[in-house]
This record gives sequence, C-alpha cells and structure tokens, in this order.
Amino acid sequence: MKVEWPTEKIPGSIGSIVLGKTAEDGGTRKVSYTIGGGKSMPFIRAENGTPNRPRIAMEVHSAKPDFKAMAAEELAGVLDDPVAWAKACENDWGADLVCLKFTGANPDGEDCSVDETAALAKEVLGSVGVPLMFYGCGDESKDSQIMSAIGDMIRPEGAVIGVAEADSYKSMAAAAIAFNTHLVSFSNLDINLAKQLNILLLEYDFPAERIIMDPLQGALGYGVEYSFSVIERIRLAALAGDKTIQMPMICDASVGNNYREAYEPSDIWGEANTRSILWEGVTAMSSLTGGADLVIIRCPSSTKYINRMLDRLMGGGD
Amino acid sequence: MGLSAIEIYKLLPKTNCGECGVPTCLAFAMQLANMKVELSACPHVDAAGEEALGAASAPPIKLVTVGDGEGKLELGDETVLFRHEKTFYHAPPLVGVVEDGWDADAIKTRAADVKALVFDRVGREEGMNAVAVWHTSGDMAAAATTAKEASGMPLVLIGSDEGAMKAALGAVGGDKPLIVSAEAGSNAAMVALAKEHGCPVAVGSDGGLEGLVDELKAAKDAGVENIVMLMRGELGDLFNDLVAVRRLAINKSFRELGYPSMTIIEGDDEIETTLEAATLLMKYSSMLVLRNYSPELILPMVTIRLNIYTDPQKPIQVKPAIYKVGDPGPDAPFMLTSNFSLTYFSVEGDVDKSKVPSRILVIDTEGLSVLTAFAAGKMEPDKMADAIEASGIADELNHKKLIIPGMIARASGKLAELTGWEIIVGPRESTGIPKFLREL
Repeated sequence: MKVEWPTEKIPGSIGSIVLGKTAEDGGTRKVSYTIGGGKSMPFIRAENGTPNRPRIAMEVHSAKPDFKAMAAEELAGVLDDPVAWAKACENDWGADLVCLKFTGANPDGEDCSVDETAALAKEVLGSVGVPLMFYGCGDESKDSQIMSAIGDMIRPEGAVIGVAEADSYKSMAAAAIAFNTHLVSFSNLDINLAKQLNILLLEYDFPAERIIMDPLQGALGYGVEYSFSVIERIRLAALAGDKTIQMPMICDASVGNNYREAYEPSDIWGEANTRSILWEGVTAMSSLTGGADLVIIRCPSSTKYINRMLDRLMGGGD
Repeated sequence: MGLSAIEIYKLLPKTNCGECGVPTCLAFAMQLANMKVELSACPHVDAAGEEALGAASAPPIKLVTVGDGEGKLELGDETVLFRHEKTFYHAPPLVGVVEDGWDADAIKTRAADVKALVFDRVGREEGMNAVAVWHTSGDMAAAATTAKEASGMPLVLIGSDEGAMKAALGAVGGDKPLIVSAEAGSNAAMVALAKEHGCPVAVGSDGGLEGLVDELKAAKDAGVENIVMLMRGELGDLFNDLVAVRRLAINKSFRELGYPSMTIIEGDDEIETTLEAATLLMKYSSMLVLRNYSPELILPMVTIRLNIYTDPQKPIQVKPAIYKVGDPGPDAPFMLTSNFSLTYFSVEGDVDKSKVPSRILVIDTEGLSVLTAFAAGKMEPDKMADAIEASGIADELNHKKLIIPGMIARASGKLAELTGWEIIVGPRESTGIPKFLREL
C-alpha cells in the first residue's frame, strides 16, 4: 500500500537572518550563518522544516560566575578570563557564536564601569572570528550606556544585542537601529506577550528582519512544559501566516544548569556531571524540537552533544 | 473521529429514550463526537448505524495494554499532535533491558534495579515501567521468569527465534507481555504466538512506512488486535517517520497506521542515547526501550516525560508544606508563597541565589500564582494564618516575622492582626529576593 506524506497547507514561513558579517560584507568575522527560513515544524524534511541548521551560541560572562558541577569543572580555567573563555568556545568547544553577557556591569553586583565593559567587548571582538552576541546586565540605563560605547565597534559585524523587554524596549531598539545590529525581543512565556512586543518594535519602526524572539526558556523540570508549548505555538502561528511572529527564535538553555538536579551530588540521582550535561542538553533539545533557531549553551560537553544531535536530525550524522 | 455530532445523530434511533443516561439522542451524539461516551451505551442503535459509527468512533490511535493487573501499561490513544491543543494522555513507558545471555544474577540485579529506580517529582513517584527480556543466546524462559520475579513489572519480550519466544511465553505468557518481533522476517511467527497467548505484539518492517502498513495488516488479519508499531531507523529518519504516522492517524484518519509506536534506543554513548530518547519522547514515541541504564540517565527522562505529558490546562502544583533552602537555623528568614510550581521554583531558586538559608511556606492556592490566587480568594489572610498555625512553624523559630510577596502587600494588616506576627512585605518579583534577603 502506498503511503503518501501527510501534506499540510502551510501558508507562512519563518524569516531568515544572517548572523555575522565577513570581510566581503564589510565586517571582520571569519564566518557568517543564515538561521531561520523554516517552512514547517522543525526537522521535517518533506516540507523543508529546517533549511538552515540551528546554531549554538556559547555564553561568556564578563564577571566570574558562580558555576557548579560540570560547568565549573569544564570552564575552570577560563571563568575569570572572558577573553580566553571566548577563544576556547571558538577554538576548542565547537561554538557557532559567542554570547558575551555583561553580567559584571550590573549596578547591584560588581558594577564594572562602562569603559571597562566596552574595553572587554573590544578585546573579545578582536580575539574571536565567530559572530557575536552582546547581552546587557538588565539595568536599562547602564545597558544603554554600554551599547552606545560599543556601538561603533560592532556596527559592521552583523552582531546581535539584547535583550529588549516590553517595559524598556526603546533604548535597546534605538541602539540596535543606530548600530545596525539584530535585536533579541524577550517576552515572558506567553505567545501573546511575544507578539505584543514585536508589534511595539515594529511600530517603533524597527525592521522585522532584524528581530530574534526569545520566548523565555524554562529548564527541564522547572517550566519546560510551558516553554515547549509556547515555542510550538509561536512556530505554528508563524507557519499559519501571522507576520508579527515569524521571526527566528532564540532560547537560552543555559538555564538548565541552574537547578539542583544539574549539580547537586546525590545518592539517588546518580553521577552529577552526566546529569549536568543532560539537564542542559534535554532543555536545549526541547526548544530545538519545538522551533528554536538559535540556542545559548553553557557547558562545552553540552555543546558537543547538541551539535551531534543536530548532525543526526539534519541527516548528515552517520 | 471523522463524524460531527449531527452526522452521528442521523445514525441514532432519534427516540430520546434516555436509556443511555443522556436525555436526548442529540446530546448523546455530541458526547459521542467528543469521545466522552461509548456507542455501546445506546441499546437501540441498529446494525447499520453501529457499523458506521463503530468505525468512526474508534480512536485514531489504538489503545494497547501491556501486562495484566496492577501496574499494567497503556500505550497510544492520543488525539492531538501538539500538547497545547488538548493534552497527551498516555505517558510512554520507559523499559529497561536484560539479555537472556547474561547470568541469572546479572538479570536479577538489573531487573531489581529497574524496579527500584523511582524518583519523587513534585509529589509523584516516577520511574521505569517495564523490563524487556532480549533473546540473544540464552534461556529466554528462565530469563523471563527471573526478570518477572525480581521486578514484578510488566514484561516486554524481544526476539526473532520462535522456539525461544514460545518457551518464554510458556513461562510468563499469562501476564500478557508485549511480544516484540526483532526482525521483520519473524513477524508472522511472533504474531501467531501473540494470537495463541492473547498477548500484544510489536512488528516492524524493513520496507519503510509502506512495508509497515503491510506488516500491520497481516498482523490484524491474523486476528491480533493489540498491535504496536516497532519504529526503526537513524534518528533523522525515525523522527520524520514518527511525525508522519502521528499526522496520518490524527489528521488523515489513516487507520492502517493508527497504532502506538515503540522505539528501541541503541548505542554506547549514554549521554547521546539519552538525548536521542528524550527527543523521540517529545515527538511521539509511545514506548521507549533503553539499553543504557543508570539514575543520572533516567532522571532526565522521567522529568521530560512528566513535563510533556502533563495536562496543559492543569498547572503543576507543589505540595503545601514548609521547604528549607540551605540549612536555616531558628533565626533564619521565613516567607510564604503560592503552590504554583513555577512560582515556587522561582522563589526557591532566588532564595538559593541569595545564599541566605531560609524557610518557605507553600500555601495551597490550587496551582494559581500569587496575584491570581489573591484575586481569586485562594490566598486570603485567614487561609494564610491557618496554614501558618497548622505548619507548627512557630516552634522552629526564635522570631515571629513573616515575609509575604510584594504582590499581596494589601494583606499585611489583616494577616498581622490574625497571627500576631510581624509582617514584612517582600519584593514584588522573585528576582528581587537575593538583594532583599541580603539587606534584611
């Protein structure tokens, strides 16, 4: 009996974005990637669900973070040296991008100065060839100053900055417009909030083709059930033709490291380092399966395994 | 379900006799369309109607039962492609493996370990659900008996050797194990044994989905009702096949592939195989056989299963109780929050981040977040006061200071009056907790 692929009429598709600019386009990145462009749900071949391989951005923190288990072990040599950390992501760990998080600039924390932070960004930019993402510390006024300070330097690079939130999107959007970067629009686990923020950005004349949506990644066991469904609903709404929600999605799976199953020694839960990789890895697979085009990852081992899963799902693995 | 309520109504007696327990035939038709009742509840439907409705009201994916009595497993009977459309009903059993070529002690130990591997997840016990006995070179009947005695769980028998399977069924066939035909070439023999012993059977094919349709039809024609599709292939192909059969069954009412699907995860790398299993669990595998086994691999699997197979309409709730973060002494801060899982997890995470050991009292708000619960009257001052009293917390503390969420600051006066405690209004968002606690 003949079995036909169960075709469905899919009126919409996901927008595509080029991350990073090489010399050819006036930048200094060694590589650039197209993400997005999906015409169906992820990894469905007959309908071109994933024409462009989803990419992995490895996170680098500007101030030494308090990591545990596998993350602490694997990143031990670089945690207080963001430049070396970024280089290792590119050279040793298979990162497609580096996401530099300016956590050290937070006024409630270490409160590193704008000049210091910008100098770090400059050094990272000069030290790695992969496309870059720059995440603020969450303090609107400080982030605005940081983005202004690094703006001229990242303008030609096809970089990504973030995050823009509903109550403070204008300063981040203004920076992304002024410095010609992509922008991460961040919403809180709700398809309607995601859509609303995109509409605000579009009304602010922000170009749709430079938005990447972050619908908030819940960690395995701690909200994955919500994020998985929100991601799927966004992807389905985009495929159904809703233009305000057709932007590629980014999910920060590093959150998978933050819960005790990922790091606590236990007689019941088994070996902690393996658990650690799996907690981040399953969290990442949930968003990739649902519709993420870009994931942020912390552990080198998680990156290795997620790359391997992508090889196999994309069909080039064995 | 292909028919609308009106189409069903036309096939019913239209007498409104009420004997089905529903007042009118139209109401019965509506319930039937929503699969809330069975057609057999209607004593007067004629043969033609029964035939038309019976076919149409069968679930798009057959429900298959494995095992007998308590602990029996149910696979399939799903009605949607995406969990937010309704819910996924039958969480895929995770099946551990023993080989009959192992010595008896190894089989016994592994089967007992599989049984013992139970985790407490938000108040539910979650673990593996069955043991597969895989025929390689040993005595399958003896291995099956040992696995059954050591685990007490439903069994899955995997093999292609007719003699070995026959012997194993002679030993444990009465428990209705799932017979898995390990090779397409052994399908006919395994189906015949399934028929003989009244067991469910899983068959696969080397000829893609088209070959699979033929194998399933052959099994059905041989008189076996409880059939499972054994889906094989490299991950990318398997993923696409699982999506295809789910879509065909649900969106196209394609009965020929309307069975639950099982996958067998093989490979040496424990982390890679677990990520593979988790991915297949999210996309439609109804049962997963896992060769690699240890707590650190199974904990993520039971957790993703619980997350994906919870009803999206019902928020996951944390058991109302006092929870300790760090090792809080009698002077440590004491706060309360709602029992909506995400609220509690955020609060717990942020208290942990503060490095200030504390106690958190979780109030039963029926899964509502703080603000919603307060608005809905599920977090009223008297209810909170009762919960504080009932918790016996006063004996554990040297102080009588309670931190409440900033969102319910309005309740502080009344709460102070009812409890006699000093009420401290905390931050509105849990992200403010670390700073708040450090400065307290």
